[in-house]
Amino acid sequence: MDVYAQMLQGFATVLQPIYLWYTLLGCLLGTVIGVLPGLGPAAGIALLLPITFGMDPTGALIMLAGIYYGAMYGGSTTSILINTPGESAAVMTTLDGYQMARRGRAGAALAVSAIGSFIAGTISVLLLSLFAVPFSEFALHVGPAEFFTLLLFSMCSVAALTGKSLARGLFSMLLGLVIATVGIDLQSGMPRFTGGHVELLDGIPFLIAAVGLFALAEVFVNLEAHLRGRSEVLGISGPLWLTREEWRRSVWPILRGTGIGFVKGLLPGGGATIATVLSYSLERSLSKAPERFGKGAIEGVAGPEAANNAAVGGNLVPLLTLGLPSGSTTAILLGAFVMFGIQPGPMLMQQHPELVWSVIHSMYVGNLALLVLNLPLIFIFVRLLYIPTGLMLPGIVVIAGIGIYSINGSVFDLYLVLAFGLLGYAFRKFQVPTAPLVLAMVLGDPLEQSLRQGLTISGGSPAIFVASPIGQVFTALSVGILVLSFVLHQRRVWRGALA
Amino acid sequence: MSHCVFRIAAAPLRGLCATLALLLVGGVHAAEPAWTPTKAVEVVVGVGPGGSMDRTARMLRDALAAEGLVPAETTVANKPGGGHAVAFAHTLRQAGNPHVIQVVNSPVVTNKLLGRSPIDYTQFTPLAVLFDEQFLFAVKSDSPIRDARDLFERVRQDPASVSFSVSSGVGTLNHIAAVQLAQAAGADIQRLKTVSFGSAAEGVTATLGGHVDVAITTPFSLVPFAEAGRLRLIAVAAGKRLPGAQLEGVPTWRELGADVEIRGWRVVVGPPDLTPEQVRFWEEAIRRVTLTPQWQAELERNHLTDRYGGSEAARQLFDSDAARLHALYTALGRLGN
Repeated sequence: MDVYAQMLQGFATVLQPIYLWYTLLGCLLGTVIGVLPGLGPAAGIALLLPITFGMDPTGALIMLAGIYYGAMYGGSTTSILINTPGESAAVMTTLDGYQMARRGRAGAALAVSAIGSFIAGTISVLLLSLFAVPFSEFALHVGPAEFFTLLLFSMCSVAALTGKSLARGLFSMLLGLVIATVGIDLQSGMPRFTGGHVELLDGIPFLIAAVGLFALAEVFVNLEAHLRGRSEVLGISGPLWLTREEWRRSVWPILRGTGIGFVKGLLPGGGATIATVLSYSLERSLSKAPERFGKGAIEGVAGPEAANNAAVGGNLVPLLTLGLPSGSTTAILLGAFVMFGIQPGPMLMQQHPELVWSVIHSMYVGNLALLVLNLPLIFIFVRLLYIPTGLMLPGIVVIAGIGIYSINGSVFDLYLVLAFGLLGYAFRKFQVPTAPLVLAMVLGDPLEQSLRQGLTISGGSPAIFVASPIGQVFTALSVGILVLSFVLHQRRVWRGALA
Repeated sequence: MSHCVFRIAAAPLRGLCATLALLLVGGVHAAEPAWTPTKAVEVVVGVGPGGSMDRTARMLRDALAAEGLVPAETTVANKPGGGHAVAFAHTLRQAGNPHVIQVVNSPVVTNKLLGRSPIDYTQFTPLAVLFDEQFLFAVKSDSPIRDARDLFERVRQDPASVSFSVSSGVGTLNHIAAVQLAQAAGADIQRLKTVSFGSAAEGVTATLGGHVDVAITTPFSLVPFAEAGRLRLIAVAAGKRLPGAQLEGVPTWRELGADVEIRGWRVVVGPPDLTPEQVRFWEEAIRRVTLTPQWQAELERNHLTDRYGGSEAARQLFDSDAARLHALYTALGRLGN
């Protein structure tokens, strides 16, 4: 049977009612997991994996894949409505998504993230099904040294979006890097900054910090406003749907975000978060009015939301063609393959073509289902904005608490969330931006590890980082973005001095 | 199997009623063992679902339940965190509770030696040894490293000329295999280039991409790439050659005169303060499941070596590995305390 016959066979499989049901179920569960702050796709799949044992492998894997990309759709919802990322790839969406909600454009933000996710998801599945094999060979060129330069560039992009005060942004970022060092150091095997708590040996999970810094801090700030009698109901102004102008501004960010997300997804290490950072900073630097970013620019929602969905297709390329997971979620999917008695590896597509194509094709169906599912949900979700503060705030605390507790069943984690909530409240009071901290937390560990892996391989010579074309490109871009932001900053200072 | 394999012993009165009830359910009528589980058992494992340790725990749970040795409601409890430390602490809190067992591997010995956790293997009740996972040395198919002898020679001449990918840091078994190779070659172990990756898959990725020269990990992670002609398996760090089409042609380091041998054992332990009857039940129950054809087929499929042993064998294994690793860590200057 040739490849095209196998592909068609896969389509025939996924259109059977039972597999359509598994696809829908996975998408629905994924949406819920994405919406719940504290539960990302990796933790969500790990939690639900045991219930799939005993199902037939194709159905189970279709469902698990559905949870994965469904979570990418759901993650943006809470980012936009309550300034709380449902998973790490939705942090960037809080920057402009929540600001859009505050300006009464929550409906538009939700719509653009659903449509952007659909376009990006569909294009990335198409790329996955057409070019998976050549893409996977490209991904192998990225070793620790190349990966370090990519992370360096991502960090520089984060630093450049620190907002008004460079000092506050850098403070937030450095604190994030410090937090990223907590736990057992991979290269030396020694625990660092754990204070003797075994719960900290694996480091501080990103989601705990994010839920504390975003969700709880938001609760505290609103509580204070409520007690002072200054709380406001956000509501909706203008059309619920996208305006023609908003749609026009979103098209190109969605397409660019798709490209960035897919390519980043191919590369080993890190999830979709880096792709969202790169997409956001690309849109800001291309924009004619970069000052609108951070104040509710729809481009800042469209790009990253497309990027995190496109990354799913990219992430599946090395998994399905080589049996190599490129992030934590695909690592758990790999475990799922093994549990079903399927050996992932470079022979997977030859040995189980019907399974691989069924999973890939189910993603076309799933993306469509998610679009159909998410658009009407917008009408329901925006009603959340009208919930009185007295119900909304405790509700957020309960949902966030359940989400965090369900990951490890650890009370220690709940104390950690509370601590991060207080930190986040202090940040808000002193106008320190939170996003650089959480992004530095996500990027800090792979940044450090890939630096030391690269230096071990080269025997201590930093030349390894500029030895390959990929490394040269990203090093040059990193220097470029730093110089550019310095020049822009100085120009603003001079202008201020003249005025 | 309807007859009972347990030794007849004076049953304590308190367990008798429950035992009789179980005998009826389980269809065991020949004789009553001194102790059997009276309720669902918790099989603890220190990782999340999906990893290789989790698979071992589930394999054990399914086999015990299929043989009717534990109630069908028996579950696997995933307690990830702290390099198994969270799960260790969980089991230790269950002192005297025979309905909790834990599947452990080398961190039960190494965590304490490396100063990661105050929990020591001596605090647990060893129950049985399940099997060994072996470690292979592999290079990219077009690597200039021709074979094991060539690798040995390169390490002997200049230990910094070859980089090794090892997963999950210093002190893990694959790191120790690289150190043993350097020691056997008489090379300076401090100059050895061992690059730690978060998982075996990341190390294999870096080796396939030519970023790292040699991957040291389990057959499970490497054999598919050997089948596809992308990696060459050059040596196995085991006492004898492994079976299987890809593996039987791979020489052991011992054949080449190098003392490189490590065992990635899986052992079942219980909480402290179990009675001898309870220990005997678990020894026997686990022995019985490891003899089933399903268990043996599963071992073969995953390239694992059967190495059943009872409580005493497990205790000796812990002691001898602790002594051996202590010496190695001392040589490396990595001792925790």
